[in-house]
Amino acid sequence: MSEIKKIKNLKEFSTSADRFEGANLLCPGCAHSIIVREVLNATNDDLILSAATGCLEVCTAVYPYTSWDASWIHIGFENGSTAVAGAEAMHKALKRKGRLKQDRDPKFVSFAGDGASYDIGFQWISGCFERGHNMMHVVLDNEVYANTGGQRSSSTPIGSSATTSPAGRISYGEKKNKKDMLAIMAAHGSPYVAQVAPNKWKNMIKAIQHGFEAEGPVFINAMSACTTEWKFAPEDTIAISDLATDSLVFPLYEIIDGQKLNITYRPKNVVPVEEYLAAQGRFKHLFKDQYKYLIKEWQERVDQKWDYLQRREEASV
Amino acid sequence: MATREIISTGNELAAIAAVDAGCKFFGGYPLTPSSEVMHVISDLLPKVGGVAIQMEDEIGGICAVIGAGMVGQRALTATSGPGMSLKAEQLGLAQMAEVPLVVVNVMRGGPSTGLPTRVSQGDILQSKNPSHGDYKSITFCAGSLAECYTEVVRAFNVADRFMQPVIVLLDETIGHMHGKADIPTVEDVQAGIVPRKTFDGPAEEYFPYECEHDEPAVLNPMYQGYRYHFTGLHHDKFGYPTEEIETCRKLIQRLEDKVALHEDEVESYEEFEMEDADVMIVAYGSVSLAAKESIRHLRAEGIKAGLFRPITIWPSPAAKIKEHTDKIKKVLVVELNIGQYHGEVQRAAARLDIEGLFKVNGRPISPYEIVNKVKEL
Repeated sequence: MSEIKKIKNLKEFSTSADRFEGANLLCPGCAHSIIVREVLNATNDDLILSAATGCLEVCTAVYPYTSWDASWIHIGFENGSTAVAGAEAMHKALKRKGRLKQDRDPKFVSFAGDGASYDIGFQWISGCFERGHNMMHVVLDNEVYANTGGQRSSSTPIGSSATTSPAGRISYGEKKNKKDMLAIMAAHGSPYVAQVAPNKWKNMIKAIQHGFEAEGPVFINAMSACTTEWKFAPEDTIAISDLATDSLVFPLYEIIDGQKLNITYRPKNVVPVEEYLAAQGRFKHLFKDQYKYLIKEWQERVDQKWDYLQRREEASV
Repeated sequence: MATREIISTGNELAAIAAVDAGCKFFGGYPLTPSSEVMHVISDLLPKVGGVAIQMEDEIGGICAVIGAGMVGQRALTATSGPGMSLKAEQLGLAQMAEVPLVVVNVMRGGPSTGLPTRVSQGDILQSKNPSHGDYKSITFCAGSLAECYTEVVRAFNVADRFMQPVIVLLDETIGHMHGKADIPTVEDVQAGIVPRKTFDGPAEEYFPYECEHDEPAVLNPMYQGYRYHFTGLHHDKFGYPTEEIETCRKLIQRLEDKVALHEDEVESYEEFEMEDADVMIVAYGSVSLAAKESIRHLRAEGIKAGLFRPITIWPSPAAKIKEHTDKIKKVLVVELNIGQYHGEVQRAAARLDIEGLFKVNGRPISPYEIVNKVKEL
């Protein structure tokens, strides 16, 4: 097993461009590049990466440029995970036959958005986890199909306005609650699944390094605040992320071996969900009188979930 | 016929047409450059008591549409090349089980992810045989904004007549083109709706797949007291799976013949300046607009060029093509692929000297490129 990389400080960690260059076409304020760079910088090992079709792929490989200084595969919308699984299986086979020149094991990572993970790529990820490939799947969860014009995905939360669930006089936008992917992936018996956010970078690094050390398929759900579709100013990405984690709308926790749940971040001062919603244009309509009840319901849901997570942690199951 | 003027885009017109033609269901998935069809129809359908669902993927999209078709509703899905590839298997099911539905395919560069935001006409051959096995596809190709409307309306009527999927091809240029279109009034469209045939005799005498050798199945909407089996396997008159030799042969031959023997009912094409033409240009979709412009230039220079534009791409208007190519020596096929329809024109004309002007870099063909090519002939 490779040595865990020591991370000294955020500046060195997040500005080192060894593997993922800053020059890309992502929107100013997009959290994707922060997350991807931190994932890649969390290890010194060789990397074999894939990106499903999405903002990350479109914006980081524009001819004749590339942001990637590592082996990188772009594949269809649905099967970034399987491409990496194939590479991992082949690596294992070549290693077994003694046909590799070096004996270093690379890390296999697939990046995909929430559309490519929660929706169209779901069965492929499930297959990878069931077969038990030694890989990590990172979801850049911006809760919307940002690359194709802001359509809702099954990660889009209730009340959010998206182009295919628009809010207006009749509708308050998305009607369904966000799919609980962490629970689903943990139920596959994955050695490690975690929810992370770029504003809590130390927490994120710990989770990713834990994931890299685990044997088997690892699932990381990274909140990626989307300045374009969530409708906030580009300089507020981290502030919005802070509101998400501190209001517990996006609680940070991990599940080990499909069973043991640990809460990895407990905000000192929990902020009301209302503050998180008010900071984003996609929830603007919820502050009209006819939809205000949804904010209250949302707070209740968040409280319930937090209570559930605490009880699970306490019960150690 | 009365018309109305509307300023819109091709994608938007396709969505409006579907709703005007009585479509009550949309199941789809966001795919550039077709997403606006879903955006617009998800706004329009609830207002007429319909349902638009964004499914979890392309396959889910067409499966939901097949379901809606089975309960007797007119249903639409919209996508682009990669989505067509994913939908292919279910298009085969709809052919086999004879479920009417309409697919709008806004073509972009391929194969694979290709050129998502650029124009192409690379799905011509795919739309002929999207799925494995034998059947006869019906495919229309819109060559103007107005046709984005009229061809979608026609597609719904033809789908119900032949009880099978009908594909309407737009290309990215037409889909995103913004301008004025003269389209039929809603009253005229609704007056022209021909609903699918149903059986209203006693339930015990109902055999959905027992029909003439050149006729489609008569599928009563589900949940109305008529029982039958629905399957993608070869099936008998009840719809039950069978391997009986003669039943299997008859079924597949009927899927072919129900369209092949009635091609005149779906045939559609446009002839532009063809009466005295010495040069025949064959083009469809957005390319035909450039071709028409090039013909004006060529005629001004004394070259008698004309355009033959198939609107029904499959089955192709082969007899009409042959009629022209028998008389006209110089024939040029212009398209945004490497000769997908060129091969069909060669076949129809039974000539190997058909010229081609092709482009596959995601950019449109300009009238001057066509003018220059014609002068070289």
